[in-house]
Amino acid sequence: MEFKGRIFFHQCVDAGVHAHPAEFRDAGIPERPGEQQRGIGPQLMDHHMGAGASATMPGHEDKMPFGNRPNGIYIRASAM
Amino acid sequence: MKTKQKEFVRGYGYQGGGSREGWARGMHMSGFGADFKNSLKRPGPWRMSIGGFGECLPNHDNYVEVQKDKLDAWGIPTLKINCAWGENEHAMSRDIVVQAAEMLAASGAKDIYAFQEISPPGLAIHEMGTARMGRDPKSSVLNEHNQAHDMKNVFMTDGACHGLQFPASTHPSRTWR
Repeated sequence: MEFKGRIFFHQCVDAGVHAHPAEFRDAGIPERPGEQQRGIGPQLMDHHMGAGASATMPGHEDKMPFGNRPNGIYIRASAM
Repeated sequence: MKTKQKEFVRGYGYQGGGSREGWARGMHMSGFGADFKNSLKRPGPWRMSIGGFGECLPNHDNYVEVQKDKLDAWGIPTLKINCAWGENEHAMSRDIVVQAAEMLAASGAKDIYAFQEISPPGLAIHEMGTARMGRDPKSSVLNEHNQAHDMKNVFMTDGACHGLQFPASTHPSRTWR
């Protein structure tokens, strides 16, 4: 791929974005010793999910929501 | 890294919500006839569910590479993704289940159903990393303005700069800067 311009703003979605740093490495940025240590390409991260719990909450059966609430709840630790 | 946890480092949060069960609860109940069907016309009990979103540690074994010899239909080199959870992510996922069940029990919930089917990387669509930010060009790709150290006219405006998976403070601080 070749890009020509004065300034490039890179914003992609999903894993595709990670292709571009790798492209830069392959295309324009000179190879140096310890290239992997600089962090182009490696250290891909994502949140893991799929763990939790659900339960019945007794009572409140006279309460009924109307319409769709736009959000649920968040429980966050300070380090998150 | 300092942590209060014994089994893992870094942290996680929960997302969830409550709702009343609908008529579909009848699929898991015994019963038949008009009375049974009429009972399902009324909303069922309240259910509360919380699921964890856990941090992933930066790992040099999780990386992407461009496959120059394998092009897509438009002639663009395809991406090869090498990514798997490590022991820290699995340990955190186990703790998410335990703490979720404990919190629900402490708030008076009944019939607690704990689940742990850790998602494959990418399912949370919170991908970050691969072009870390730092002051030293020897150890990072982007400077404090998300500008490539080696190509000053390239700015990355997404999450590739993250050295740790900590979007809640990193994104706002970058915006303010």
